[in-house]
Amino acid sequence: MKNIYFLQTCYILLLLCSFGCSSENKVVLIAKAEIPSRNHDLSYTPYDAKFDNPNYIICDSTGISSGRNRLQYIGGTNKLRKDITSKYVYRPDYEPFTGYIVIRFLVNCEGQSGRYRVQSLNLDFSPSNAPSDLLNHTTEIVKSLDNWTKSAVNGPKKEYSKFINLKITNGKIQHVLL
Amino acid sequence: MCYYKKLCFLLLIFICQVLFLFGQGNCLIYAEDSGERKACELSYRAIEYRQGSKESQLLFDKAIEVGPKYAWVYYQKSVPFFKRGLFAEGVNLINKAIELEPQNYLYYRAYWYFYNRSYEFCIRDLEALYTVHKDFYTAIPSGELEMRLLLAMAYAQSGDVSKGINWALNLMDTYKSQPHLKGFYDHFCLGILYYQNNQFDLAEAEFEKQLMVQDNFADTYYYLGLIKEKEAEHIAAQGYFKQALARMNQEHGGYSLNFFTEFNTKKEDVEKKIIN
Repeated sequence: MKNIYFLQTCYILLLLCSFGCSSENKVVLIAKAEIPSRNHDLSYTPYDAKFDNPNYIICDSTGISSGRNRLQYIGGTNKLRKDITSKYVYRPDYEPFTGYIVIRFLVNCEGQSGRYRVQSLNLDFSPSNAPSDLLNHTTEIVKSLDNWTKSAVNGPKKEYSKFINLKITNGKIQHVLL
Repeated sequence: MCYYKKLCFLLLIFICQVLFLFGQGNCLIYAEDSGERKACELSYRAIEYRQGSKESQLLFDKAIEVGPKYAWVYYQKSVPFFKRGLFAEGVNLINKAIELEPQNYLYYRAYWYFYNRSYEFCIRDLEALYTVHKDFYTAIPSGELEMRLLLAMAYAQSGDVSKGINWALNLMDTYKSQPHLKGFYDHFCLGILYYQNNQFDLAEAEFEKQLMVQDNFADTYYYLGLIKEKEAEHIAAQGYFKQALARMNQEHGGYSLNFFTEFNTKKEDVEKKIIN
């Protein structure tokens, strides 16, 4: 019986120690500048005079839908992949780039697309510098797609954000990730 | 009798400890007025708002400010970034959570690497999770697959199918003592790895087991058809391809899934196999 009391006491001590240790042992430096902060819904892309048409209006920046299947492509995802890859023209100066090109855009209440943004990333998602011609070329391809259709459930005025992720290996599109 | 009461008491303490240390959601485990307690409470207020909304993001920011060592807030804040294609920001946040509690958050970064076909980084994270941190069982966020199946498929996609099979078998070993943990698609995953490794008999055995678990899943029939085709059993192969297509067309509750990246079954591939 004494053994049981002894075990019980040890266990409780261990328990208390584990609480104490868990928060004290770690010294982690958090660089505040690295934490992304937005003063708007993440689905919204604010107007930027450098890139955007001033006449492109978003009706409600707090009600933008961003689910992967909310904005659909006529002909389905296979057609979308084919439309992108068939328009892509490889150039030897793209060859050194391996990583991602992520293109984001909005579709507004009038059914128009706009606020296009493009970012290149390494395979660990850290920012990367893809050739600017490659970024322009892939963005123009996505801008040229006009077979988007809004979900009938949400009505024609619903606004959407969408992104297309191109995995590029040695300058060629390896995957169109939707 | 008293002896058993004491044992029960010890067991109860053990269960409480596990719940307190590994469960999310109880801010009281942090000392009163500590940064972690405040960050925890703010984070729980944040998730009452729509994911990705301005209100939730601002509350997460406040939580990080008062409790920068509270890992869960970085994880929660990262989720809507990843879902919207804001991967650079998302990974910055999840990296912070991993710095603080790698055992709890490596899986989430690995999940996003896997589904974006960044297999090398997925392998790096999951090897750390299972080899260094000895994780017992962690599923993908939607729950259908244990992370070792993603690790196995990532190895297979990187050209080391045998290593992938070993990880899937490692998972299967867990079920010997914990059979209730077995997932819905484990046999299917092991089957596609054996198939990829040209071990068709073993693959067929796994697909047959998969049918015992779930017989409405179209992809199993497609792979069984491919095996029969290799064995020159064309009538049987055609039977399986037709069953796969029927289920892809959602007949009799049939369905397909897109969890398996390059191992996904495309409907057009099934259609091409069917000889009218």
